[in-house]
Amino acid sequence: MKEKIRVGIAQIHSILGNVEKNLEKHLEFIRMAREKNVELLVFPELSLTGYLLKDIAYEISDEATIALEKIRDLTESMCVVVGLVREKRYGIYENSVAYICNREIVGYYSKLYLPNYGLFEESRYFKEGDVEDVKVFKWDGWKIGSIICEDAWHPEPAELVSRLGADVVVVHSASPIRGLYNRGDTVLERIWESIIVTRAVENSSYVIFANSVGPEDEEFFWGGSMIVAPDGEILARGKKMEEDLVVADLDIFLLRSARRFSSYKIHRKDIHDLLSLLG
Amino acid sequence: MTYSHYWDELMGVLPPINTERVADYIVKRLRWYVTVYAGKKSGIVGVSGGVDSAVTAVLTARALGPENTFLYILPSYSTPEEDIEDARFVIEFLKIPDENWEMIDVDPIVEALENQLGGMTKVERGNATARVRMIILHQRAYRHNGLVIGTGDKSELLIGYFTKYGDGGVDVMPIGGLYKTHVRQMAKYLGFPDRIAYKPSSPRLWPGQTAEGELGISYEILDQVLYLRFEKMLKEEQISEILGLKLDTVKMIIKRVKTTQHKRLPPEVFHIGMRDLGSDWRYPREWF
Repeated sequence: MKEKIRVGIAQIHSILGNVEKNLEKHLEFIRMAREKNVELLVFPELSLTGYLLKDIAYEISDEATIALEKIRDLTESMCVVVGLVREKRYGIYENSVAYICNREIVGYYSKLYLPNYGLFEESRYFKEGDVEDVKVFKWDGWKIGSIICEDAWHPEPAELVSRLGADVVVVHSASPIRGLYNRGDTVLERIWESIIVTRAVENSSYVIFANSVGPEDEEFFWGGSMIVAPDGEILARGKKMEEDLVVADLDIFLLRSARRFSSYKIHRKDIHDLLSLLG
Repeated sequence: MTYSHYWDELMGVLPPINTERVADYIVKRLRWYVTVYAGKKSGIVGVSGGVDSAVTAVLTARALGPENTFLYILPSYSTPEEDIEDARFVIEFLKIPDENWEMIDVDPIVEALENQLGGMTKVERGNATARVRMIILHQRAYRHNGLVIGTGDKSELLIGYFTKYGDGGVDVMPIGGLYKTHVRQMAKYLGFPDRIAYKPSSPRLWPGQTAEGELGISYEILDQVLYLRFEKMLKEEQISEILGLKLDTVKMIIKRVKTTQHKRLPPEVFHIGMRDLGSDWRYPREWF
């Protein structure tokens, strides 16, 4: 296993429903990341399609799947994770990310918790991912797992990929602006930071928060992506409200030290057994 | 009046906005909306001398540049002289080039309508005046390859205090998410004098018309009721208790919001086919 891995977040502004334009943007960021020797590059939720698709969600997966092939060509010695609508069965769609490593599409992760409150109506369009399908991906000896946005607001999805072996948990997101009240950051920005730091510490893993940025339909995604170490330290932050390529080096040493000096090694199965019986 | 003084009077219910970030956000969003989404070049704003249009004009000029901002003063017989002076102040304040602003008297146009249609009541004439202004702004918008930038704030939009297809007939509403109280806060942040920032609100559709006179309540109180009901989702009884307001007053405000719903939505289309406009039509606004 390599002692260090260089990771990047492509904090991009996707154009809603325009896979062609978004593909260009993906290729541009992959080239930029390659110049900075990034080995793992992650994109936000539904990065190839845009997030607020509404009924376009039914008709965009074919184009997005074709775009994956174009991305493949640029991934030599690199692992790239992109968001897309995936047609799991005919007419059944999932909010997914695809792992494309060294010119191969090596697998998918589909969102487990679909939000349906406020502006969100994901269950109208998507099926929840199957827990049995969740896996982690190996790259340069590092194990990487993904979860998507709302998944991070619950402890289990991050815990699941972590217990499956992930050293790095990627949270692909499309978090919009809300509540620009009072001074400083909004409530949502503060909550996201707390969540990402908590997921890192409770799982003794690196957590990468890759958020969308810019206007989309009636929303504006705020960016502010983060790379957090297993001890909760924020290693890198993306700009707010504009596109950015965020880069940091992850080091095995920090994983070791965090796991040595935490209770991560303890996993109470009985608690999970009981939880599974509760509503 | 100082900012904190002003805020203290609001009993701390409605939180202030983060002016710097809100201004930055609206400017970014408006620039994208006009130039990318709509593919236009300029923004057209009717400036009345009031706080809403003053704030909207600044944000438009920041988003598109003064050279792409076109401001129109559209006075009628019921427009006080000081409003015209304040509208001119906004134009000077923003360094709008001379060829980018005009003052057009709307009375002859309204009179022509009245000559053709017969005498109008006070309210009919007021609504006609608002709609004449709308026509002028859209004509100029077409000429300057621009969008009509609405000046409606959240308080007015929620209680339906605007003329349908008049001041409501615009292309985009950048400050429609700000309560009047927040617009005043923003006006101070943007550097406007108190005379504009705290000017009593009025559509000036007839002489002596003021919003508070018509509504029977100040915007500061109104905004707190709207905030507590629709953002915090409290019951009318709770709001009455928290704000020390009569329950009937709270009910009157909420009723106004409900009965003006038609003004905020596109006209209803009756369903015939398998997928019609309206509830079936779940396509995003951004649809290229």
